[in-house]
Amino acid sequence: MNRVLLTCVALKLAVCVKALVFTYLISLLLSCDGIEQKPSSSSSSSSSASASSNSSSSSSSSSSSGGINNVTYKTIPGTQIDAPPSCGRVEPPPTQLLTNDQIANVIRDIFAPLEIEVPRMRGSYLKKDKISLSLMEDLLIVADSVAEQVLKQIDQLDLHCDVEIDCARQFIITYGLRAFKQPVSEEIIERYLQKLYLKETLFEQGLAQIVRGIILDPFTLYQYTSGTDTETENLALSAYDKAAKLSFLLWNSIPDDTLYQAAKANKLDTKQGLHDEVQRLINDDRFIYGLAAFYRNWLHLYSFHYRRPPGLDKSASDAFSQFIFHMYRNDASFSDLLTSPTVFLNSQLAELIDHKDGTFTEELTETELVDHPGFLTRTGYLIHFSGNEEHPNPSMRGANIALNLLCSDIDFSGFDWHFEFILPFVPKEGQSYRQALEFAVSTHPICEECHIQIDSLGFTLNLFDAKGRKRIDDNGLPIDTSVADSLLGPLQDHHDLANALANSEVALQCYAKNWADYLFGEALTEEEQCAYDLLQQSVMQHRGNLLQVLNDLINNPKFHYR
Amino acid sequence: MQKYKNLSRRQLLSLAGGAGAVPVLWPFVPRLEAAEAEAKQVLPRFSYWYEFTMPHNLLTQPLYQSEPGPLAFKESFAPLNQIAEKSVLLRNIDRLTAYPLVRNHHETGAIGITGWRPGGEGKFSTSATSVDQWLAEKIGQTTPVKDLRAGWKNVGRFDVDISMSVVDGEPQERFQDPLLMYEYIFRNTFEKLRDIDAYQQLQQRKSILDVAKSSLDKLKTHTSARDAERMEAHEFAIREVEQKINIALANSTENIFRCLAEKKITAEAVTNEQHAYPIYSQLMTIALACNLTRIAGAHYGNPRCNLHYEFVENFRSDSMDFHRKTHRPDKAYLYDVLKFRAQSIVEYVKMLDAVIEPDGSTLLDNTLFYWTNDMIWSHKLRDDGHCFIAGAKNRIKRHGEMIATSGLLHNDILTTIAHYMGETSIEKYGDRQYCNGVLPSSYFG
Repeated sequence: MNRVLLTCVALKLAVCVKALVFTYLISLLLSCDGIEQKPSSSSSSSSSASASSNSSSSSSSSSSSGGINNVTYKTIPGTQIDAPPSCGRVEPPPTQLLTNDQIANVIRDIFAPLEIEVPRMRGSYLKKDKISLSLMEDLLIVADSVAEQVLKQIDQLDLHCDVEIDCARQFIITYGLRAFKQPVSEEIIERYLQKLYLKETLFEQGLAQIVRGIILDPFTLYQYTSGTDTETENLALSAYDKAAKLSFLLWNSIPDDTLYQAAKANKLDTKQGLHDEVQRLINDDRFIYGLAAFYRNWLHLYSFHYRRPPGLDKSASDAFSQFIFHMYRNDASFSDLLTSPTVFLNSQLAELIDHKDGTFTEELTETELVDHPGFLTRTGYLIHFSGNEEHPNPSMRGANIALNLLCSDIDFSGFDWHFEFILPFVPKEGQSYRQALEFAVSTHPICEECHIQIDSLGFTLNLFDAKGRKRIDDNGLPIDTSVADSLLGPLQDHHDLANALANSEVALQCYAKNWADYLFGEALTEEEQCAYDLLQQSVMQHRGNLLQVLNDLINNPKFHYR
Repeated sequence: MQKYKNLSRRQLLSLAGGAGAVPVLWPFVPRLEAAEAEAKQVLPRFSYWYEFTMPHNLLTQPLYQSEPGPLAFKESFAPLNQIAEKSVLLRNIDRLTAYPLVRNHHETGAIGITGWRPGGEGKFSTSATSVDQWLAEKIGQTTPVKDLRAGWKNVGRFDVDISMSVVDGEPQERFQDPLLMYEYIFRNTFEKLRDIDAYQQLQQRKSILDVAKSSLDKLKTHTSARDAERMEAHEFAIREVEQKINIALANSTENIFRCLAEKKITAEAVTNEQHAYPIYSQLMTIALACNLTRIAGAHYGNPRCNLHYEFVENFRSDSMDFHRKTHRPDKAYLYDVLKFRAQSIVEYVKMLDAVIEPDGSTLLDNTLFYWTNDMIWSHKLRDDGHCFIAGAKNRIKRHGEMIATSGLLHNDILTTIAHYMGETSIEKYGDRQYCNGVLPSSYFG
């Protein structure tokens, strides 16, 4: 149906709240060095901290009272790593429920080298807070499917045993270590044997039950499991937890056996050991999963799998991930991500965007397209903001840029989402889609309030249709991409947009904030805020060069403490 | 740990379908016994017994006392005294509303007690749903079988040859033969419903969730207070799934099979037509006891009865059908039939009472047995309708009594039954003009 949905926008109000929080953070960073400055007691984060303080925070209360410069340790307990110069100890972080992507990656890696295809689960692929009934039900189905696949490849399992029950025990130890991210205790082994394996008649059935049990086990489904050692107040992460933290950050999955070995050998307690493992993980192809996870969360690209226009397979999302992967591998900065002409195309994508130079196969191949600067012009990005329409949706695109790349504080809180605000319209004869949208917005003041802040950013991308193809006209009229944006100033087209964002300190700060959010979650205490600020400062200092940021990360207290 | 050989679905079906004198389920008993005893929910059930002319008060009035008070059946109905303490007889029911669209009588718009296909008796233009099926539709598919209807083949001149229940003008199927019903319970449930693989899967999932719960308990001791809500949500999700599994297990075919195995029903037994009445009763009892269904009824609607009442002494060698006999002055033959029917009902009610439920009550305690017919208005007896109710201990407080009502609306009884079954949203049954709602406690307690 050839019509535009003018929306007062399908954006999550939660994003707005985040934007408001960010406003405070920006002011903090701009006003001081970000380390020694205490957050204002009236800030939302510190008030949240006091509201959420409880018995678990007793160990950090002394450092809280002493402020963020209260140095507790010279070295991080149990390690040879210097304690950070500030921040003190941080609160135990909440456990993190794995995302759907992580669950799929984890299952794949638990049973590697077996070829396991994890059925798609319902629900959001973004980070989520709590497990739901539907996820539990989906996991049961996933568990059945995976158990069946494991049994079909049972000959490839790395088991060395003669007696069946010994094999079962070995299976639990080997694959449980991977799933639970720590060595499996004798108590758990016995529980699995008694309650799952021995209840079945045949060895294979018992093994299948163990597989199902591992997948449904909470120790598998949460990222951090060691938790707080309240007796000793030693809040430093164990080596295994540190390994898991690294692997989820860089691979969006569990550690491999090498990383576990490094943990076991206490290599992760030294700076050099940590550095070596970070480099190894970055050089592994699985690094692409870690990057994709961040981008998916940051840019809300959660619908890769089902928003694809008909006929366009996952090439678009793969090409997007490949571009990001390539850029980081090559020491790219934040601005490079927005301006680089490097594009990954296969035959399908080349045909889609009508690129005739060169020969393409099914494999993604690196090439350069000067008129496609940065990820904002990639099909894998653009398709998310246009529904199933052929023509672009400037409002959705603009809103995504404003909220996620500029951390704009557009206030949608007064917006009451209602169908009557969605105004389907078709441009009149002699009217472009842009003109039609601008007219519709101008006649509805309640819409204009928000649209005026987002549409202009989207108009700069008007050269590209819903699938990222170049358009030749806008409903028969010339395509108009020039705007006077309230945040970035006058822009002629998508090149101007890319350059403006690449050179924008606000955009870089927003990028830093999103990395901090992604890695640490919301800062609830002063110590956490300090660690959080350190990370943001690192991103700013290195202009978004992730490889250098990662080196800073291993000095961040939040990385080392529970 | 004891191990049991697993039987494939194919093997199970093969054995379950095997005819002959061998109790077909015995081979499964070891495995079935091995299964953990599942807590079955004690749910209210409804069992409807329809007799074409029974209790037809033209015939039955002499068979019990005329004054209200303790139940005291006489002569042919004397067998009913065996279950009098768990029964109640209601008289003087205004059954106008129970008889659907009778010729020359004003149309009530009510749903009948039993249904008649269009052009049924007297070519009445009727389309009525039997009360058990109506109730089953209201309750919905909460059990593997929505409702189970047994009954005779109908060959009478009233042309009710398929069913006693009509939905949207379509006569509804019922089990015309005990063997068909037996086959359905024993074999077809495998085809249509959850099978043994599903049962096994449910058991496995219970074990997995059990392990998950243990791990969660452990995890909770390691996580910070920030995680309390998250852990609670996880625990809640596990409990929700477990609850679903428990319900599915209670309704699973294997659970039913285990129950059937305990009854040792044989294929040979149900092929003996002379025992069809008790076999129907036995199958209904099993179906109710094993949660195969919450509604099981018998519709005995054959007006001729010659074939099936040959085992009744005074009926033997008499070619006159039952209905014609009701119009003859000599009622001796009929009273023999009545005696047989009374005995059959006693046998069925006793069967229900013999089944012990998980909470220690009997199946009869949790089943509302309802015996009636709808042949009242056309026989000018609308003012003295009868119905016989047994069981439902927790609802009926006047067991052992004959209650003479004052033109109690029959639709109110049916509304009350619906409430007993948990359908409390039903305010009235049938034509609202002829229904006041749920009966006061003076009747049902």
